[in-house]
Amino acid sequence: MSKKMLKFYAIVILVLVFLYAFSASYTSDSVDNISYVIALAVDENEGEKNLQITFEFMDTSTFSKEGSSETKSAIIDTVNASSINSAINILNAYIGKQINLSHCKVVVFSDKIAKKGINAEVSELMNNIQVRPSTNIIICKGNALEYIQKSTSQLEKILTKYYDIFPNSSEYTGYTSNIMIGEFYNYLTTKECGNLAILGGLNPTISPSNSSGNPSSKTTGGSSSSSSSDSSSNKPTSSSSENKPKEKPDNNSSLSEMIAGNAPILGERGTENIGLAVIKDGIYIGDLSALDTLCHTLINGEVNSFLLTINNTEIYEHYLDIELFENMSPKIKVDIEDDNPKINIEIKLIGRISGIKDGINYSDEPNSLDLDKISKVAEQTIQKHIENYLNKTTTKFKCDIDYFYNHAKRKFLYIQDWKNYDWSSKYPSSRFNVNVKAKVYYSLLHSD
Amino acid sequence: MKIMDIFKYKPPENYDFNIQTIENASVQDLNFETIEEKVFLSYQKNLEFIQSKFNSLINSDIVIRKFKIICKNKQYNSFLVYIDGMTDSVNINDFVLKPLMLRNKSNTYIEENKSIKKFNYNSKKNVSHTSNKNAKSDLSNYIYTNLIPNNNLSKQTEFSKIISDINSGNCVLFVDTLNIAFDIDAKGFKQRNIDRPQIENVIKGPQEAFVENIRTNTSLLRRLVNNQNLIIESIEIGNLSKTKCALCYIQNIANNDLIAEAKYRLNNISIDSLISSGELEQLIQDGSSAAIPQILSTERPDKCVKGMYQGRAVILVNGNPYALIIPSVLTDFLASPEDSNLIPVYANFLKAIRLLAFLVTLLLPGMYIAITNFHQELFPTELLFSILVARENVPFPIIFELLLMEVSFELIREGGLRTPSAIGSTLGIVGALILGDAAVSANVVSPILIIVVAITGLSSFVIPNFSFGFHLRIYRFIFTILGYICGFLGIGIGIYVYLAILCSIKSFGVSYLSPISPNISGFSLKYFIPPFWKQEYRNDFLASKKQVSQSKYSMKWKKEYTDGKNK
Amino acid sequence: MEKINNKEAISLPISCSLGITVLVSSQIIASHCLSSSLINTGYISILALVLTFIICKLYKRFIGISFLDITEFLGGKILKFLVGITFLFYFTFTASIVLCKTVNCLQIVYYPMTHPNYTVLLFAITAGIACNLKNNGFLRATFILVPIVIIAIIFIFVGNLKNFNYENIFPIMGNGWNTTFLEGSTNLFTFGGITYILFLPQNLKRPDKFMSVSIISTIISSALLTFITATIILMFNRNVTSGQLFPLYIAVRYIEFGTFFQRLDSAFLLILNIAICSFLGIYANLCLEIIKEISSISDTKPISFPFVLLLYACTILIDAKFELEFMQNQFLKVFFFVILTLGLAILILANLKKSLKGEIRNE
Repeated sequence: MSKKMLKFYAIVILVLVFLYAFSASYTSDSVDNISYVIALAVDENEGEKNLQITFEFMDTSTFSKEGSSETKSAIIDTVNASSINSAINILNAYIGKQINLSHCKVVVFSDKIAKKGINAEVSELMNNIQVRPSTNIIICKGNALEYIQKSTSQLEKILTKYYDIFPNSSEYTGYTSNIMIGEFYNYLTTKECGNLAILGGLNPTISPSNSSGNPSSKTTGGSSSSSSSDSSSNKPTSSSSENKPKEKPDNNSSLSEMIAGNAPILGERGTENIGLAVIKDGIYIGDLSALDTLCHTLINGEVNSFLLTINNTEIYEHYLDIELFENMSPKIKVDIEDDNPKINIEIKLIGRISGIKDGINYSDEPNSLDLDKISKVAEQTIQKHIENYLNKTTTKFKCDIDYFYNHAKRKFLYIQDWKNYDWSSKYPSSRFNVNVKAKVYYSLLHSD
Repeated sequence: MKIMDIFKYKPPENYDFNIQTIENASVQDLNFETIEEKVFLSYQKNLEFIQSKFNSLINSDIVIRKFKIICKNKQYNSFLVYIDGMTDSVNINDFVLKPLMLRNKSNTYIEENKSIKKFNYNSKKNVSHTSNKNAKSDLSNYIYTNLIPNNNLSKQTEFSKIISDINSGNCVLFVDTLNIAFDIDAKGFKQRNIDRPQIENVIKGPQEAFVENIRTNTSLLRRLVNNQNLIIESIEIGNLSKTKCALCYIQNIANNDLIAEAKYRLNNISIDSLISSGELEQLIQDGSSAAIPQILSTERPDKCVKGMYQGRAVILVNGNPYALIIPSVLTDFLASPEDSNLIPVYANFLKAIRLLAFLVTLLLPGMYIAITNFHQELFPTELLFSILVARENVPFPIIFELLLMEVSFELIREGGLRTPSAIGSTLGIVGALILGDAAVSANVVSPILIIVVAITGLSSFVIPNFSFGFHLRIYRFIFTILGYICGFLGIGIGIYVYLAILCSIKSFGVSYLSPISPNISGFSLKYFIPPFWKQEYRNDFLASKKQVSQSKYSMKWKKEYTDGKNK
Repeated sequence: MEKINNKEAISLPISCSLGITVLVSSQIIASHCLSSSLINTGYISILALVLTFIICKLYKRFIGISFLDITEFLGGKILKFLVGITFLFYFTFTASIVLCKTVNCLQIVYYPMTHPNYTVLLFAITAGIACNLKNNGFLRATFILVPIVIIAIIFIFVGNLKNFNYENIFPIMGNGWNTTFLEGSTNLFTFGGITYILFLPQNLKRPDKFMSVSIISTIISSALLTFITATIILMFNRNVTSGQLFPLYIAVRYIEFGTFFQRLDSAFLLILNIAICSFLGIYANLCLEIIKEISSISDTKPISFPFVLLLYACTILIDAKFELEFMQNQFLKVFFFVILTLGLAILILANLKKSLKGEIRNE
């Protein structure tokens, strides 16, 4: 046999060997054998297996030509298990295809389970190679399963698009923040600070026309796949399937009180994401309202623009809407005075008046608005809100959720010195000096 | 036929013809026929020799015309030998036979006592003197200078050359008492006209292509080069076929070592016959490295001339309209003749498209299969779900689908080459319908895969060089298998090995990936070309004698204008 | 081996250093030095430059002569053989450790069902093919691939800019002067290219350019180390070194440009696989050259595949018998210093001998 033939046979044998060797990997990982979870919900289960994990899958028939005109729905399966990995294992046996979390967009924890601590679950998720660090983490006020069921896409054709873009509103409202599990885990493992998660809530008002689009009616797996007798407590609340629309309570909740679940919104989707959940040592300890969230995002430079409504009769008898933009990144400086932190925050904004009640052209005399006065009032308002928020963090939450510790570290030369300082115990006694500079320009597009 | 014949025994009609194989054929069996005889003085001997060599009793197109030459009022037995169909009869009749056979002033002229006027360079006047006494006996010279009014006439003494020239369309005259033969160019065989290029079409450039006749091809090169330093060396390859090849180069530009190496390789080929330039390409290239073409083959004279002016050499083969350009590097295979005819922005844009096409045609199917088998997270979620939906009803695994589609595409492509143009369009429609619509409707393949295969196929058509495109088609399958086996690991290993193989190839002493690697100096034109007025230097990897091809300010009109303004 | 040009020569030590930096040393530096990692990186870069400069100066008297020939000049054939074996041992084990780390990572991410031995075999065969190619094909391929890897690393740095927390570099001195400078100098092993530089002069087309080649390659390696370390330190608060995956891979997973360009880690692994193939090819070829010099073999092609089988065996041995972490933390560090000291000692002594005895005799 010639050398060339020997070479050829050797190559063929090697190819066959490698085909065999890698066959298990590509068989298991092939796109035909995998089902993709788009959302994960973790609830408390009162039985022996203390977690109720809900997996939301995309109904792929909606991507076909025939199904494209129908309302987009999802397939929801729930498992009771002691951990997320064991839940995945059980469900793998049930659904036939292997579960894959690489396209999971959100992970939702119910407030009950969050109050007991979510360290283990988050750690488990982060150690799963499939989970993306960009997956959003939500603490839901209420049942996480119900949250998943009610999260429908209204303006988007595909549910996954809604999950992709809903946190982007933080950039132009400041009422929520795009918190991802990678960043969350980063801060979770840091002793010096607290942590934040997106706060989700259930909107009790749903119009009757949307009952057909309710994903709960299309649940195939049922609310429990185990034989636990506690399944009745895990069923979604029946209020969602009533025909009559419920009215919102007459609640002019201000921004300082508005959180997910009590926002004055009437819509078809049964969920809302406003505010943030405060986590300390992995335990959910409180909420940040819309206004507090705005202050947090301002301090951290996460918001590009937001709306401020001023009600000051000295300047203008009605409400003034001012759209404010970040002029430059906030400057934060931490000094240590008498062993206590003193935190200086400087925020620079520019704004334009975006709405006046009666539409009169106030640029002309004698009705002209005093823009300097408006600017000053805006500065004072924002400053006050921020100070109130910071006060809350030191008195109510007693943890550094704005990550001032990063700036405090500069004062120390060695890690041991920093550890000895024990920032987490020193933070509640911090003093703040907030300086907000806002310059308002008058720029209505049209006026009478 | 009688009824009883039905029941008669008929032996089976087994016509079984077999060619008996020769066992243990060895190199020693390679007995090349060599003709060492020289022209005889005797007319009869020459005639018998020619008749035996050409088998004139069997060969119907070998013509031996016997006649008597009248020369200096004497008659000599002669014969003319030529091949019917390869010579121009009018030429032979009017300019060979007529002046030799019919009595005219030339062939009845007797030289004795005739004074010849000759120009004296000292006195600068015409001076007459008596003709040379020896001219009376110089019959061959007389015939050569006076009797055959043909522009291409040579005297030959060796039968090997004579026979070779007869085979190429010349006619040869043998005269009794002379030990030389007159080799007369009377070629008149039908050949194709200079036509447009078949494969290397351009929009904005010359529309001439080579033909089968080597002399026509060399004339095309001469016209374009327009320089006396163009050397066209004739080499015969093939011990039996004696195929004429020409090595063309510009002697004051081309590197001497390159030309010497080319001549060495061409002169040291021991084969019976050479029919096409493709065979020659295989015989002279550096190694059969992994099916990657190492010598550029072109049908365009302008491309050859451009190469020669860069310092390359061109090899022409008689009977084949494709020239070989040596040495060739990877960037040459991705360059189109159009590039030099367009402004650099357009040319570089097209080059970028071609580079993209090169990557797509090589890697796209492999990447697709790697991503769907191992790396699905790379897809955006919506695209992934579209793929899932598309594949829901398909019963085959992705690799089978892909190979099925690729093979079908190759079948259609090959079928399209062989069908007449009338059926070709039908084939395209049927193929597209079968491959595209029907296969998807029948859930044999998914629509996404059709798109992948179609884009890959389109990209392969963008590659300007046929051989290079062919090798990409083969390597594509290798990358597909690698991607299937172990995803991006396989693709990565494939890319590394392929790149290493490309880097290890040499084409006539020049690295295949020059000037990218090895990067000798900054004077070489890389893949993307600068404006023509900036191409001051020739490629350094060619080591040409004249490195500078333009002066620093090639647009003197501009410089003088600028200088004038500055004054 | 054919002589190589300057630009190709620059890419070789960079490729050697890259393999160790990306997979092994970046993790070690980040875990030991924590917030002072960047200072440590700068410090070891300066040390590496100084060492490179010293080596180049010591080679000035032996232009174009191979390192093992210098060893022979110093101590005869026995010393040449011993030193050759030591270097062979070092290069083989370094390549095995890096390969082992790569394969472990790939197994976790993409091939959980495949035995890692097959993946190792795939890499080993690639190295064997690279060594069998003529005309320094793998070297030229490295020259083309190294810029792509550099661009990828810079892209990872730039792509993660929005995730950076610049205060992670504080406290500036980290765990102290001792960890940053004294113990931190052991991190010099990340510059595996310095040991390759010892064998570079004999292969250069222009040996007089040896110093510029070495200095440039060391500077580029330092820059890459800085980029990689900066990416890890500025991105992660926590200790990422206890994990099985190397931190740069974890950092790539955070890169996002809109909703289309996400999870580019598999694309990064594609580039890394190519870089590792290049790394293995260079090391395998270097080992074969050493074998050629210490034995009387004229052509290394017949022993190339047996050698890669040896490499395969070493990698499996490390995977099966030894703790990978021990190998990379202790063995690699210590052995690097042994090799470096040996190399420097030989060069210094040879220089002294030459100045005492006169011209070297070409053997």
